[in-house]
Amino acid sequence: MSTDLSETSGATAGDPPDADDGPLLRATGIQKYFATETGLLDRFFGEPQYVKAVDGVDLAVGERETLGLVGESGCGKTTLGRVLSRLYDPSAGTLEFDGDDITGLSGDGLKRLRKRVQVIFQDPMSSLNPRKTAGEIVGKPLEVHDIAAGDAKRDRLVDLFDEVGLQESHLDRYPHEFSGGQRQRIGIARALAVEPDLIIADEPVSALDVSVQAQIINLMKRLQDKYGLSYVFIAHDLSVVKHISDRVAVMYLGQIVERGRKEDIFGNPQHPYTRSLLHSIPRVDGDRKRHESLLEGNPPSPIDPPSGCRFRTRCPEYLGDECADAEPQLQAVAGASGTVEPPDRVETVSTDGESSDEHAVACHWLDKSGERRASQDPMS
Amino acid sequence: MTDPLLDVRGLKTSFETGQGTLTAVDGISFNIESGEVFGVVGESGSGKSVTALSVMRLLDDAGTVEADAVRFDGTDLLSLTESEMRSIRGGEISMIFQDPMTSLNPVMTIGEQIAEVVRHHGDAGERTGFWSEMTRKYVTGTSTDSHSWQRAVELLETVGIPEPEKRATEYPHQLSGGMRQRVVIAQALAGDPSLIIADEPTTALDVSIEAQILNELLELSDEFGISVLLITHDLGVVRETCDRVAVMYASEFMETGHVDDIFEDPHHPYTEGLLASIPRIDDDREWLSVIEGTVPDLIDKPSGCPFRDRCEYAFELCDRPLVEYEVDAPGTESHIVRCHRENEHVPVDESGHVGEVTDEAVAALERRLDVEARGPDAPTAAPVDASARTDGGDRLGPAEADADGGDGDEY
Repeated sequence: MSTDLSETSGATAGDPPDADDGPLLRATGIQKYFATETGLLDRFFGEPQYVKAVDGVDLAVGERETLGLVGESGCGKTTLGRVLSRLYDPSAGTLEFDGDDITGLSGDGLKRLRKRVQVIFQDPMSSLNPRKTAGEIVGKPLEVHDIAAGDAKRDRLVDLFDEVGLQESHLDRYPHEFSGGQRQRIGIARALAVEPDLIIADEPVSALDVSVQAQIINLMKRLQDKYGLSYVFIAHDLSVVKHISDRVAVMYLGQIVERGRKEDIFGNPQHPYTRSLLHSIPRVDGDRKRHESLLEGNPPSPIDPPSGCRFRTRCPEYLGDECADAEPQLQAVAGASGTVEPPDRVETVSTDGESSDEHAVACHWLDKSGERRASQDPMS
Repeated sequence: MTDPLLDVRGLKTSFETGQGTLTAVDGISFNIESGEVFGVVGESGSGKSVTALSVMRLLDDAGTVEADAVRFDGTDLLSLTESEMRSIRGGEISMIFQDPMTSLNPVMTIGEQIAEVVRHHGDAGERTGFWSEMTRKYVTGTSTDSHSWQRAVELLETVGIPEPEKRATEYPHQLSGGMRQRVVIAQALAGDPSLIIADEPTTALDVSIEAQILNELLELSDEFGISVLLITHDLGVVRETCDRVAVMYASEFMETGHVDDIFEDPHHPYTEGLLASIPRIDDDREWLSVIEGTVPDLIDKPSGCPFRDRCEYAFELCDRPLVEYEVDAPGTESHIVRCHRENEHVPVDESGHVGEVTDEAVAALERRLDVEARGPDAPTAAPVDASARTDGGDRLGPAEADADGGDGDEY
């Protein structure tokens, strides 16, 4: 049953949401601006300047689905993750969770949302209180949300620890006594404690070694299968994102430039940025010494992003004036759904905005997809 | 074959801690040829960085460094005085660290920082005494007409920084992460090095910037014939950047060889496990392979293979000290594996598991241990060096085909 988060009856908040109508989380036109620090005079007389960290993002996360959010550092993926979990209030746009508007939620309503939307952070050392034992850290949400206390809480903790691959003896240890992988397991146990529906994971494996990374990724996938969780998986590592995600959104300078099922994004990337990123990954089984990155330079400042297409200053396939004049909108790519179409047969169709499954790209190239592009297929 | 540029044999670094002796580097041997890019790959805590710091003698009194030899261009680095070593650091051998923000001085312009290295290691003819440097640093700044400043600008241009004259007058915080790492590379080039030790140089950078920086390093290595010791945890970076690579685990090298051999024909179970555990952009496995267990405690580390507790192929001989086995490598480079499965008398079945261990196998191991114990003077003990090994006689010939016959189907 669907829980109305704006009401005070919290008893059913943990129940699984309906599987029928609409996505679990829908974000529409999300913007998040931060005012830059200015001097005293500017504060009175100057124009306020804003870092446009997230600038108009629409996305949806379905039930039992993993949405991968990728992009370079500074592209706004972490800010977007925090807005989605309501740790930040969006500057504009609306958020709907399970059919309810959660954009302006506060107080009790927000607390009930927290029970259904949890967050896992990148650095497990700084996201765990060093003065609390692992048991206290994971047990806290159980108290806050009146889920369990006393012996019942202890039992629940033992179960949770077992679930994430830790032992009962670990309950009374402090974070510094754990390895990085184990700390991230504690972070996962804490998120799992309230039986959430959605977990926003912000770079959960980037601080870990490869072999430990594999353990945590497998754990997250197993928990998803078992509890029917949805994930928003934020990462800069495309291989990891490809591995865990069902759908992928590629962000650049506060906007989503391409989104779709992972088969489409990785098998038939359309945006020059996606293509360049895929091209840049050092491959374990690729040809050697093949670093010729298509991406020159650094991303421009999000305070004053370029006109038109924001990627045009670094784009290897820059078309000219039209890229600078008009801001490309996300348009659906026809013939998607996993099969690799040669770029010259791609047609444009209009998005209806509802089906988030569609492979969509914001690029002027889509209008002239019959023409030969400057860059090669990044996967070849 | 000419002498390698850097020849390290039996390097062992340990730290005294409250709990006992921590062995951070345990008897590793490798060499780097001129112009070669040699990678050391391993997980955090495996001892990669300590290896670099030991070679550079940057550990101070904190650690004890022992080695049969650390020879750089014919010079024994361990026997140099501190002042001789100081002229090598930043000169003949320079280092690039992971985080460019902490390795650059935030209150000096980048031009100043590079010019200082030029003055100390070049023959610029500028005074480098204490007061001269202090005056430059705090009063006048380096004259833009001076040789060292002009060289600094030139170096900034070499590493691909646009508007080098203007950038040279800026401070590190005014640059992006990728630009800062380019500045660090320029600084490393300032002493005209023949070896650059790069410790996770791109770990803090985004993939697109990482590709730019690695490209830059490779081009410079080609252009100036500089050797690079690249320390990283990223197998993809190793594959695309290095000529040869050593896989490090729990303070020891498990496997050393040409990158193609290591990635396409790994012999050590740890290398196999590591390669299987990374998600790849072009595979569709639902579950990643996982190496169960954790890295052993390096304090009072027991002898024998450090990987044996996590190894699915572990057998009786694994608690005996490890020796180097050379396996047949398709290329000309030697491929060294430290795993007793490679012992020619140990029967390995199709799945890679080991059958009954015979007395012959034990005897063969004893012989090898005996040879290695005789130290660096014995001709057969030269590690990683194919030519030296061949004149070592038949006893240490490459492991026979049956020893590695079972490896073909495992991955």
